[in-house]
Amino acid sequence: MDIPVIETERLILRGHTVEDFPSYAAMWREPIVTRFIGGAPLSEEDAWAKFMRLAGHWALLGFGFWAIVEKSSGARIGEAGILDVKRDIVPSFHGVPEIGWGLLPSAHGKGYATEAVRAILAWAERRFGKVRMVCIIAPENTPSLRVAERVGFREETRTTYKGEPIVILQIPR
Amino acid sequence: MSVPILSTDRLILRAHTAGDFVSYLAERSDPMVMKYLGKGDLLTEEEAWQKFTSMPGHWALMGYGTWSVVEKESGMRIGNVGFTDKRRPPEHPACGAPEMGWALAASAHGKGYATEAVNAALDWGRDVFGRGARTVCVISTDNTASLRVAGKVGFKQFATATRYGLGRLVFERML
Repeated sequence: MDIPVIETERLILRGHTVEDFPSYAAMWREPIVTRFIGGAPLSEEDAWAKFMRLAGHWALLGFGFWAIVEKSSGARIGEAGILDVKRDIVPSFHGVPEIGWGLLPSAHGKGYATEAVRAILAWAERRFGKVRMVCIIAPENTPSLRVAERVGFREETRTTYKGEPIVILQIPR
Repeated sequence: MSVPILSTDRLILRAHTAGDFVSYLAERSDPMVMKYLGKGDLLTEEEAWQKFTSMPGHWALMGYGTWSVVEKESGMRIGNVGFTDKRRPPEHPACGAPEMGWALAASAHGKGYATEAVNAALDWGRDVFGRGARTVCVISTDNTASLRVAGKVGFKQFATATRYGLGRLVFERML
């Protein structure tokens, strides 16, 4: 599966390569990142297992997560994309494209997540048509809730996921 | 990365496809299969999907990985076999070498299929990693069926380990 490359004003979205793993593992061991996504920092072994899934998701389903690269520095600053992860969550949204994103702390606060997610939503609309899309965000994750709002997500419901409160947002159709 | 197809007397080893997830999930939610894997817990659909999606990803990123094992006679997918880089921590005796693993559906146990599949994968590994390259495997202390397979295909135990408080035997084999 060739992963498409998406270019925005300040970012390149491309598939992950094995060389991205150090930066990936660095992000996933940052408590400031993982407190809102997953809860606990990941060991290198657990981060590797998660990293493998990124490429496998593309191979199996033809969509997935991109690495986000900052054009000005050439550095990988995070990841974003479209998932089907069969979440054990009620209400279930199996089969509905789920959008997700995560950036290294050094790239926070610059509008990069909004820029990346907008481009991904446009790609998703070409891939799936004008269908409902969802995302889940921890209620105290204000920066990500703001990104979601800016790109058109609206709160659908509040529930729990893995024992923690979570907000399900959607772009309704 | 296109995944090679291997053929043995009774089995085909081929890439995992999205359609294989149904049988993979059935295996990973079967106590007979899971008894000696991980914590011994059955996997939820979400957990099984996480493991399943990592397998084609490993091929894409590393150029080797695991195959789905298909029984020629029935055309049914009966399990998995192959090599994984698990990035185990440096203190783990299995760190640093491609790690062989296998798991078959309970209905396919006891027929010599695991031995047949592992041998085919090891032959492939010799071509890819080079003659004499080291491979390892990690098996639960109580998993007598898999311990027997490991012995049959030439793995030698060289260390022990503990995972989730459970005992493991660690094997190596030069390809």
